[in-house]
Amino acid sequence: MKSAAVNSLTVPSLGFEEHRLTNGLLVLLSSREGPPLVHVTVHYRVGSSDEEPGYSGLAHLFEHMMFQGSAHVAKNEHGRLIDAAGGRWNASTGKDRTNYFETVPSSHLELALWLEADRLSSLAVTEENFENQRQTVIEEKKQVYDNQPYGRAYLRFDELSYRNWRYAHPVIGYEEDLRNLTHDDAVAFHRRFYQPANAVVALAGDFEKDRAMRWIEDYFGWIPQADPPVREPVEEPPDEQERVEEIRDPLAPLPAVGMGFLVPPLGTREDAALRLWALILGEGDSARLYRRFVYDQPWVTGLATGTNHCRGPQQFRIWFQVQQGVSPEQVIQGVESEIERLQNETAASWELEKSRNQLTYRQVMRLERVSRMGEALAEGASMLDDPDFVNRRFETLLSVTADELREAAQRHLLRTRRTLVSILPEERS
Amino acid sequence: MRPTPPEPGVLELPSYPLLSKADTVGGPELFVLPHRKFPHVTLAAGFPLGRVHEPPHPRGFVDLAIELLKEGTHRRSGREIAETLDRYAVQYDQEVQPEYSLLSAACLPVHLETALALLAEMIQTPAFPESEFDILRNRWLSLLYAQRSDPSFLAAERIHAAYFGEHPYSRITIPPEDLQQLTAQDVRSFYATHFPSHGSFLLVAGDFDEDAVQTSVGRLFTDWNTRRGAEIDPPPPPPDKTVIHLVHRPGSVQAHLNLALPGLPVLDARRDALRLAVQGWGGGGSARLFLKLREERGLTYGVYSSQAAFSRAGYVEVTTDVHQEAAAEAVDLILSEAERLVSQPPQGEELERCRSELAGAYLRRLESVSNLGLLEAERILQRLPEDYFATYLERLRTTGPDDIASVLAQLWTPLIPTIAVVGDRVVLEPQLQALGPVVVYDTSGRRLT
Repeated sequence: MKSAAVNSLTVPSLGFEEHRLTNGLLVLLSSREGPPLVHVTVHYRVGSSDEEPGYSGLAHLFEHMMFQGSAHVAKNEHGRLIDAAGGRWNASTGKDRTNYFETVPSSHLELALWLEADRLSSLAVTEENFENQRQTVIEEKKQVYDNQPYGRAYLRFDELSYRNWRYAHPVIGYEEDLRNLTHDDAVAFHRRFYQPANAVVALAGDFEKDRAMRWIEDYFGWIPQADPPVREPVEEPPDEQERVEEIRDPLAPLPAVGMGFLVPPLGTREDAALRLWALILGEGDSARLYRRFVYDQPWVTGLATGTNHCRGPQQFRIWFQVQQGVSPEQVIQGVESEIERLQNETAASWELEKSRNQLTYRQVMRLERVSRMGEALAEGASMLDDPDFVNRRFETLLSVTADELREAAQRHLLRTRRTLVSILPEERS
Repeated sequence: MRPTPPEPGVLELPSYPLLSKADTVGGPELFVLPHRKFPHVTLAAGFPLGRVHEPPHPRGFVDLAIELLKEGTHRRSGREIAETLDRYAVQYDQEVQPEYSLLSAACLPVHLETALALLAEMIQTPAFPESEFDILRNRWLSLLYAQRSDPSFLAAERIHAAYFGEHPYSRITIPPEDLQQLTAQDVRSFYATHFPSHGSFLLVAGDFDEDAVQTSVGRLFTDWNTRRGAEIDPPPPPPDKTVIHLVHRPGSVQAHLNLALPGLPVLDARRDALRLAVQGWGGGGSARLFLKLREERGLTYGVYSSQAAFSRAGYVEVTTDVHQEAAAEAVDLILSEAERLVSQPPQGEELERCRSELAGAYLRRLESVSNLGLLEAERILQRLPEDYFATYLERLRTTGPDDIASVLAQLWTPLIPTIAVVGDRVVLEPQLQALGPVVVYDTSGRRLT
């Protein structure tokens, strides 16, 4: 087993076995002794970036459909069986992938595999289920975005940031599109994207590998092979000009600002450098922006930094909420001066040490939880065709130099690649 | 493909790791939970002192004191503390609950001594600097203002006020006017008088050398003199009639609903029966409320029930968000399901599923020693018995349908819910009036009718 040494601590790699069934299904197994739990996750290489204009929200709505029953499992039975086994289940849809997972006591691993295989091979996409879930998704959009302060601005931010519709439109979809989607659209979507060669099954936890592999062969191996959909790379036009918008939000209590820069995809060395900048700028009370704008010039109530995890062009984002009586413009100018610092000065050695310690701690914590282990393996495989990404990225992050940090800031944190959204409270009637 | 679900295999449950009390000379009571499988360690400092123990006016002492511990000591500035915590990847956190406060610091074993020394310094020699106090107060005033745009906060505020009246259990936030009134010196005096309160302790869980930690605690915590704790009076009985508290939030596109029903205090032995009932009612995606409101009616993205328990009282609540035109229908469905829960409590397969769900959640907690450490710290602060979690599965197994029926009959007969709804008054008020008397508030908490 590989490992990375940090200070006097040796951090073991996340070990795993890789198998491919004859129908193209990729299987990743990470077995270790511990509490009798197994995390089973199935990632499909499909997300909102695979949707066409007019069909926004279909990938996510389809995620809901996957709990509506299959050949041998009645509507809502999937969750009920996992609940009855003492497991936890859920799913999520992103721009580039959709995942379905169960964390179950090890004694119920076979059940989780049977359930996942049944809905992959024989989902029951009925008119009634489709209509019901359409309504549920519309309520989800209202709850998570439309009825929340800054929620609509958050969706607008992607529309402005990306020229390419694939990343610009919201994962949750536009309400008009959601209302126009048909049952036939869902059936076609399942046929196109939900097939073994377009999926990754990852198991992590306390289980016996040979037996698990036999079950996977039995339940998934018979599903017919089909050519997986060809995934085009998502690209953005070269640098153009800054995108700026002011949004009035009747639900926003205080002004807020979103600043984003188009940056290289997940998995590149520059992405790792920018990950370190996100940490140095915004994570922890000693982070540069936090220290300056929460303490030294107390202008913001809080802030967040980070990238949005895409296989194509990503956004490096800085969000902050402005305190009462402070103008957003003065904070924007202050943040700009900090960005200039990134381009002109190298990171301090203590900041690099801090970053490495923080990343090491997080890697150790990842290895403790079966759900984090399984998701990390499957995420690398589904997004980047690299199940070892979780280990490789950790090593890359530890090896980024101060010069690389400065160069990444000089190359990518530029006005021509920037989106700036100011959200201002609107007086309510 | 087999047509029926496979049968489960054999599950060997690990035994629950019991805490032990370590010998120390002076200093805090020290609990240890060694576990060397993963290289990390969690420290927790528990104080049985929370918001309910403050004077009625002004309020905010405990929240401010706990928050300001990291903003300066007699030796270090807030900046220096922040840089040390972050540099050594010490994941410092703090929480203030109604009846206790908890500090935690998780780190790699190689940084344990640094974390322990810093925690000792912050707890024993905080400076509460004026400058940091002013910065924090101004930021919190903005955050308190922003809080009033959050529908779940607005509903929780109304539920607590309706349920507990003037009793300290109603305190879920700090009134801005009280925050304006307090000074750094007030907080300094309060901390000196009340912290560490009687029953405060330190807990260490994870990968560490027990002897070395005992020695370090004895050396670092030399100024640990506990102060007399405080007891609180029981709250008034729950409301004896249903009133709907409607918070008018203009621009809302959904109604946020919060319904409260009588529950039990934390030490009441009937809580396991109530826990199973609440799990069956709205504990997850297979629960009655979820199936009715989301899967059958498509009214909501999610609807959940939970228990809140304090030393002298408790309640059960349901929260959900629905489109505004369906608010009254949703309230009606939730109450119908409450009545059905009383008349037809979980039994047979449904009860077995509720037990499994709770047992599974318990098993997942055992996965992380950091979680275990914090769970045990909360257990001590709530004065639950030492074997509370060790006997948890057995208690669930032996709690039957009759126990559940009995506790629901005692608590929910007659069924008198307290209801809070947040949304646009114009759409909501006419519907809700059909369900009972409606009192309307604005988002600042001012009563409009």
